[in-house]
Amino acid sequence: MKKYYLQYLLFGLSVAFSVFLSACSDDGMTPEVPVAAQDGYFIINEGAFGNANTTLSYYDRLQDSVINNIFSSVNGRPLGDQTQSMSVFNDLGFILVQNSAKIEVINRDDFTSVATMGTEEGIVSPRYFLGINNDKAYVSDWGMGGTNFTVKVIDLNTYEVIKNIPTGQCANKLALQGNQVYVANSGGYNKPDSTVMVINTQTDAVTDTLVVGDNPSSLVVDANGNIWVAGGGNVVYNDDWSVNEAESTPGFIAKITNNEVALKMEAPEVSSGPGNLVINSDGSTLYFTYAGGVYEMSINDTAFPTTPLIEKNFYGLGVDPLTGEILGGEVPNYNDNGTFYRYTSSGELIDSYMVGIAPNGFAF
Amino acid sequence: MRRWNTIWLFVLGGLMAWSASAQQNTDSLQVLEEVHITDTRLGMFATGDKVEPVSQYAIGEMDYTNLAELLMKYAAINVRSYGISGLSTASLRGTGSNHTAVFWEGINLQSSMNGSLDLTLVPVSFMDEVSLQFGATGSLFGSGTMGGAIHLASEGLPKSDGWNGRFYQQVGNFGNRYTGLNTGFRKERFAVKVRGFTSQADNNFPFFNIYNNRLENRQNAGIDQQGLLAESYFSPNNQHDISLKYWFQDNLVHVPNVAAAGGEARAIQADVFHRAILQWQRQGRNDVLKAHTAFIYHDLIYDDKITSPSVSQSASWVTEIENTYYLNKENWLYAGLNHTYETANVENYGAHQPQRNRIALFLSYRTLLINKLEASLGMRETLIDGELSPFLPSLGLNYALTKSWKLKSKVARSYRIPTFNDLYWVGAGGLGNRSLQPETGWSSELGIQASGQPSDRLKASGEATIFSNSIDQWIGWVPVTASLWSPINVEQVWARGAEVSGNMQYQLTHKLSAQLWGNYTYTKSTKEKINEGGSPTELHKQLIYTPYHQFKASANISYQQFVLGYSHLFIGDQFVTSSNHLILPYYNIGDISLTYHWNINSKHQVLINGKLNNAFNKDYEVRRGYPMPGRNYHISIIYQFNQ
Repeated sequence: MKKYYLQYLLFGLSVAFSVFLSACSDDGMTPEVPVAAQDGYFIINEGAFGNANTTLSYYDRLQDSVINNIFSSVNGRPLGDQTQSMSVFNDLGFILVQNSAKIEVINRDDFTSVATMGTEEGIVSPRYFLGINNDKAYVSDWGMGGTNFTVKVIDLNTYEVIKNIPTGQCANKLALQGNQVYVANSGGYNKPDSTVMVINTQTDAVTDTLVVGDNPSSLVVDANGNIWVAGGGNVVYNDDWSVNEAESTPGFIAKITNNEVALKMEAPEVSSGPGNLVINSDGSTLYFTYAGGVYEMSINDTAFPTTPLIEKNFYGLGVDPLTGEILGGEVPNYNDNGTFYRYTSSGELIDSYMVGIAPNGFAF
Repeated sequence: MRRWNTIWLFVLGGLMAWSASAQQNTDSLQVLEEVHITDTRLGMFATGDKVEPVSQYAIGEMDYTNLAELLMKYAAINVRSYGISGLSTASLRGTGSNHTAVFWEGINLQSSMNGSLDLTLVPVSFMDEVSLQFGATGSLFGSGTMGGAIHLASEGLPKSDGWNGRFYQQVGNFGNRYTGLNTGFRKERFAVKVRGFTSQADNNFPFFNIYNNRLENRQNAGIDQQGLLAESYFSPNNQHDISLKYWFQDNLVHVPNVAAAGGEARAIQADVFHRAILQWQRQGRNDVLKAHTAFIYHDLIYDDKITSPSVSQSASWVTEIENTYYLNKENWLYAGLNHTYETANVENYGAHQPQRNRIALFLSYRTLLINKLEASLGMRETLIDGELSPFLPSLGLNYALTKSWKLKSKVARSYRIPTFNDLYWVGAGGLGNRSLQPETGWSSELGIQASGQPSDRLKASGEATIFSNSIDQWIGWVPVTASLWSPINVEQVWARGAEVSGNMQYQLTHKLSAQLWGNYTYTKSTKEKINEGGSPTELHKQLIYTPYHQFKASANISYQQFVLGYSHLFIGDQFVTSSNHLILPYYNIGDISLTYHWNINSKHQVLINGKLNNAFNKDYEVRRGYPMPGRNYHISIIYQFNQ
């Protein structure tokens, strides 16, 4: 017995060791390398805050397929933490990675990195990007710890912040109409805001502050040059965190004409405000998310729509400017990959695709 | 998988019935060997369990660190960590972070608020014994022991009358320093021991930030800890032992950002806790009666320096009485009663201050069925605020094939009750669920153990185990509406795998000896059922931060007054996302240590130790975005007398 003992033990150890060695070997995983972009758009996967797992996906219209993780597979490094948005301007993609305090600039067509704007260039907590002209862009930014809300003027030749324009609480989405930029002050950090600010793009100065409704977060410009604003309303909680219906205000959709609120439609439910307001390419139809569905509205409508076009809860919403398809990003949770859905403009499902974690929007 | 567990239970039950019918007289009790731990439950009634003590060599090597680092390097357990000095929890056998309970002196230290314990806040110098118990052990130890348990004991009783003491001083890279003092006194039937420490680390180590593509220093990752542990023992006569232990600790942890984050990290967390236990033991002629009552208070402040700090307090009071009856040479009976009261005061529970009363009755019966086959049958029933919780049976078998080879098997049911956060959280975007059911599970295992002394100079032991562990009604937070997250009993998880471990001590000459320890674990832990509300794409996917392969080994050679040690850690690829699309790459880390024992005389000793951590200077992350330091040095000096 005794003399076999060691043999058994050594055998056991050698088995364990060989398993260990094989585990160390490369398991042959190769990253997907996308082809150069011909005809498609980007899907922004926000990732889970603090988990460094934000990614960028690309939908190729011709191949009808999604390529995930394009930023890191092309550029050899992870994208960062919590991408809030991306915009395409002048054949460049501007990726606003909010918790990484940076903007990654990539070539629209081959996804290669052009520049990274970080804290040294003046970026702190970037939200949304708006290209103004060949030399200049605006970026809304929440500042360190949500203390210093600005629209930052970016020099597109040097990729540096050249001016900070103070805004209301939590400046969010931006829209350009003529030489005026509209800024939705969406409220946050326990402080609501109810204004849309107007900035003159020639002077980079605030020219007007319009009171629209509580916590406006997204806005678009329609075919007639009107500004449409979606706001979440202000949800006030009781001490036990139940909603205080009396003090809360409902969300809304509003229309701004000539810097005046021309129309305001309140949402029927408090605490579930409309968001993700987008518009089709001819500027005639609005889409937004509300109460677990996607709603459609003509720019001629004057009442809040009553039934959803698509009964699905989307975190991100978009309209393909080329085809008019409605695009939705679904988030099962923040550990798991999300799903990207395509619908016809009348709300019929075309197909769905797996994307990264928490798809929150699209860039065309 | 539950089917397999049930089949296994029948197989074991059948085997037991058969052996009982074939029972024969024997006076041989050689197979009943005591695990060297004071808790009779673990030593006497965990038949069939795999119990692995962390070696005294390892505890000595890691004396000035914390339990997270000790277990990460020297125990067959998966430690999940937010980096050095960051929140660290342990997982056994592919379960979640709150499925491995941590017991100090038999008291469960898992938080009633979140179900886990931060192992970084447990100093190794306060613990004299650390043991891992693998597999569900609910019948003996109650809720939260679905993957297993970690047992800690502070048994610093001086062996002889008079004073003894030990003084530690350690310094290392990145502002790492530790000062500790242990002193004990014994006079006849009375003994006292006091240990204190103060420890700081800046952890501002350089690392290549893959997210920013540049070399950076880790920022806001420091820790500052002070602690005191006082123990007193009194035995009025040979039958009675009384002890009182009190553990206080004050911790300030700076919480770094994920490496991908920009800007300056400023968040801090302050943990202050008091833990006290009064124990009484009476040794009867045919029984041992034990009673203890413990009070635990934890105060936690998290301050992100943006919003107002969040403050929470939790308290629990645990009273337990247990008796072990020696019926005859072949039969033991064990019965116990536990009362646990928990309460917490948390801003996010709104006006509600939760309280919970648990009363548990547990019984175990250990018997020698036939020569060489012993069995242990256990059961536990708990009343939680007047409601019956799942009944927990267990059956363990131990069969001695030969004097050195042993077959072991166990089937046990386990459960975990929802945490206060799961039940009572109220906040914007998140709401607790008061109708949550407890998680329930079955675990079964089969192992073979060998130990022996093939020659006078060689002692060796080894163990190989296969296990299957299912957890049903797993609680997870999921979005229930567009803007609201709530916990639900979302899925069923099946964890299975194999473990191999070995241990060898070789005395070459009286001056030269060697020790070797190693273990390998293969764990597959997948979601086998996703209930409504969960994400169907996660079906059959491996749980996050659960490596398939894990290998740890350590070797040391003693020559005269010198000990040279090497320890190695291999953690295989781990998934970062539930859909298994993002991987945290594997890492291989080696540490080298050299100790010189200077015996001034028979009473006084000085130990000087130098350590090279991450000797191969590997860049690695223990969690995505949480980098670890490269090569770093530690020097410690220990002076001790009468130890």
